[in-house]
Amino acid sequence: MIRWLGVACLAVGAAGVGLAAARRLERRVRDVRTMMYAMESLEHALSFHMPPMSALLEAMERRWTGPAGAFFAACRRDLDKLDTCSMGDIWRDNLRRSALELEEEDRSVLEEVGDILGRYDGERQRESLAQARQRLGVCLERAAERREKLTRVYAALALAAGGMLTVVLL
Amino acid sequence: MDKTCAAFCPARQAAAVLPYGLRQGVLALPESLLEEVEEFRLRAGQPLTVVTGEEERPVSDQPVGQEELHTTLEVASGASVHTVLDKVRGGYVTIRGGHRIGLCGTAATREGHIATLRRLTSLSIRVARQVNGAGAQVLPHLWGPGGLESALILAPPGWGKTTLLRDLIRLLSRGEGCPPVRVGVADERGELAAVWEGVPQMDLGPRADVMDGCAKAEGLMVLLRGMNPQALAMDEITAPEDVEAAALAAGCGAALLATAHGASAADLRRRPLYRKLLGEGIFTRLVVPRGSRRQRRWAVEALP
Repeated sequence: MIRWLGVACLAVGAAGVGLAAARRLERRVRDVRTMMYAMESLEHALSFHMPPMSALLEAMERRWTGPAGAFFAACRRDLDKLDTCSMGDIWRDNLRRSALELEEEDRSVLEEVGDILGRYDGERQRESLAQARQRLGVCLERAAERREKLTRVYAALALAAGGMLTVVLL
Repeated sequence: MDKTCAAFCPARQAAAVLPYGLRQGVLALPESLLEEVEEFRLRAGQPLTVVTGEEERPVSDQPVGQEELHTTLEVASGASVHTVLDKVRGGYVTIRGGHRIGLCGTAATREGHIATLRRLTSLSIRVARQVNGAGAQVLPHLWGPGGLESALILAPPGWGKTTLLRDLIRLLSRGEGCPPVRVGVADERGELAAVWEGVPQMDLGPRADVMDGCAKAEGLMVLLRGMNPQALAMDEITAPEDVEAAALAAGCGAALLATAHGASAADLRRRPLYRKLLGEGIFTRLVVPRGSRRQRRWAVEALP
């Protein structure tokens, strides 16, 4: 009985690892898409209202839920550290700490936004946000392709590994 | 009472927007010097300097870089440089504490006008100081048989005209040494009240209504129409529209307090703009400085 239970746990564990990897691919697509739309929202706000950074981040925090909303909320909270670190540092630190599922290429696009946001005139910020949005669009396409290719592979491998472990151990 | 660096130091507060390295240099200056600092000047490629009176001296040998200019503005604006640069036509921005940052750099134009600054080359941080009591000796001389007289404060730049006017507004509005007076303040340059995020950073007393962000002439008219002021105050009469607005305001029964650059009444009469101002009899009192810059006193002369 214990043997059967052990085998079942191993099989479920192996399947779970594979399925979690597949879910991470899905989450990356979701988070890159959200951040791409968030860049568009920022660009839009800077085109019309030109709000101060605290108001801009507050609006973003209200607009987006989940990890993206939490990221903007953390950036807004940290604005009072501006006399000791730059907006770029605040943005980068919170990006690193956030629960956003991002790959290195997505992260580097977003980090560059932090170096421009709130530091230059409206037009330059809008240009940078537009570029970031486009580059995130490319990242999104790649992430979606990768998800299409690998989700089934991961799921199949997970189930196969689980099945194989069962056979081997029994 | 003057606010000095021992209790509250406006220069220290203004220096808080400087990047860490530059700030440390400023904070290492002797207290006696910090008390006198009127401006911090940052120029790309040159060392940070402090202005005291007519003297400008370097704080260190280290040249200020482009990055430090941007960081200063980033901190001063709360990472909202876009809200500052896109208003650069005014030439300066007011920050928390009422300090003003003057901006200089490579302008980007739109339809022939400066729209923004693409690259900063210099910043000037002007330290705002409120000297409570500066007008206490002047105020009794501004009262005539019919109440408050209209007065023009006349002095060369840097003699404290704005500081005196601000304190006269505060005294009138609080009713210190006189009956309380409702004062409408047309603060075009943001130096009198130094409104920052909707809150005046300078104490103008409980009966002062501030109109800022618009031309003085327009501001005076809005105040007259909407706020029923007993006295009006405006800083620096410099344009024909200001003179016209002053004349209109004087005709509405409110006493007018204003400042102008100049050395004496005779100096004013030589300049066409002010000749008209004096000729129309808008002001009945002239407040002029006496003594030296360091130990300035004010004298009140009656105008015919």
